[in-house]
Amino acid sequence: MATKKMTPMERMSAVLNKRQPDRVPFLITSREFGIRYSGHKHHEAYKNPQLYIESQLKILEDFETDGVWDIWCTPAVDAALGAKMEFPDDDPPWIHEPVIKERSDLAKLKPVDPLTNGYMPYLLDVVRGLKKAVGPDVPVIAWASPPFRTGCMIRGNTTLYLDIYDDPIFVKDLMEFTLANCTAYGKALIDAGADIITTSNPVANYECISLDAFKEFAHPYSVRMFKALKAHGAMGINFHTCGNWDDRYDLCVEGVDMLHCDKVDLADFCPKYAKDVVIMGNVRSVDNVLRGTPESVRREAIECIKKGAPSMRYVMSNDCAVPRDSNPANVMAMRDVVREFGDYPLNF
Amino acid sequence: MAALKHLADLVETGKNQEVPAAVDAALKTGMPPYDVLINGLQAGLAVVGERFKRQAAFIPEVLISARAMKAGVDVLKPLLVKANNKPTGVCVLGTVQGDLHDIGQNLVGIMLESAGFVVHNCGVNVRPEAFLAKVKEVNADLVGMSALLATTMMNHKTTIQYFADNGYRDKVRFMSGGAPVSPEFAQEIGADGYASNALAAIELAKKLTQSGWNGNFINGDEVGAHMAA
Repeated sequence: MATKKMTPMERMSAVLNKRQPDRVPFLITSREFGIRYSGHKHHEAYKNPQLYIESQLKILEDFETDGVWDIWCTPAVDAALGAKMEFPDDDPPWIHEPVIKERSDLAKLKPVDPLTNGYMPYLLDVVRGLKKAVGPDVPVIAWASPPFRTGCMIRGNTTLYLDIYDDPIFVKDLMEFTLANCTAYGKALIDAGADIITTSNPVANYECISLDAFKEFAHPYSVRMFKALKAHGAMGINFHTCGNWDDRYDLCVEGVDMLHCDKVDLADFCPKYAKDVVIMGNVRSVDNVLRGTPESVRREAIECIKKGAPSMRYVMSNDCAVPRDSNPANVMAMRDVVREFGDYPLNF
Repeated sequence: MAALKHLADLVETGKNQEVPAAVDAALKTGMPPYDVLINGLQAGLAVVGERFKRQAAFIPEVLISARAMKAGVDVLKPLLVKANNKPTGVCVLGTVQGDLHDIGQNLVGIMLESAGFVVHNCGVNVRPEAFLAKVKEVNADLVGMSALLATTMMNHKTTIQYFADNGYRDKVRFMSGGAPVSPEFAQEIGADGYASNALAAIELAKKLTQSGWNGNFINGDEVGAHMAA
């Protein structure tokens, strides 16, 4: 029986390295929820790094999570390459206009410098501030876009999907370019203090492109990026699947240490993949954390922990970002389930 | 007929540059433009649509077929207007206020056009009053609303309510979709139907514009599943 209470870093390190933690770790992708919970609006997080850092510290303290997150999913590399990013008042920014209008435009793009271009220096400041605030005992988790996603953002999703048929060589040239830029930013995040790099690729799932296209245009570039970031010192790579990946999970565990999954049954998924990766998830974010009650979230969280925790490679979490307007009591219900049932050895 | 089969094959395989000549060839046999549209162009896209439902084709495959279909529709359009063939329906599409995501919505627009609807895509961050103004301008039958964010999906409800407040709710049918939207949510906010993907949206749009629709909520995914079965 584990007797000493682990720090969040020790706990995450244990599950990543196939050792038994003292209890099931708990992480929530808390960007917009955290900002709202702290009484602010999303756009303010891009003007005052301290405001965002404080929102994460409040989440860490109140919900007893095992890590803090940077301003997750900000398409900073894409914007630095020239794509137009818009900032809604109280929602995450989004690329509104791609930069590669003609395929020949790719040759005109210059590689980004994460330390000086666009919003990347700001986001790096946020990561430095988070690491300074939480110290070595708490992991800082920072988001870097994978090459295919950034390719879609700077070219436009629809256009890139057509390029796959019209000019596959161009797509591969684009992926090499985005690979270099996304990797450079990922390394800068690690240099700034990120412990775990998290990523997501909703435009490359089973609902979007074929397995053949995934193997040719998305997966190899992601793996090269993940390996480069691990070699640069990341303690883990977390991959948020986002959507249906049923026909490609066997591939997408390659180069990855954690899968933050949705739309899977943990009862089947954990026994199959826990030997390869830590599995994080998957209390339904919208249908339950946002729209449910503390009781309904508690019921689902108990189901998740019963299915996931016996693998000893499970992290309690929601299935996507915690929606901004979620009732904090619903999120607290997940924490309470971890408190009540999460200690190893398990005793449900 | 061989000309129609050839045309359907070209659409199915996305050979957009060869489609206009194949349409001309079919017309030269004396076939009515509407038959060329339905039994040539739409028949080809329908094959890809069925594959998409079975997840044997994906967004790129649908896009190249839809592009090929559009190349043919561009040739036929003046002839169809001359022959007074009416569109299946008129749809105003948009991502609701506060949301800037449009990939799914664009795909729905492409597919609806391919299915014979006239589509007016208002783009992203569409305010309720902009939806209503466009509906009035083009005399639309349908409004398709999309959202990717759990926050902005609440503006599906706001939009429907705005139409109700302005006495226009009963003049159009609302389709609700987007990643965080569930059939239960769509029904709860008073939409007429829900679809999780572009193909289901087409089945839903067809159902909602049929004269026999009884006013009950329709889950477009179930319509598609039924048809596939």
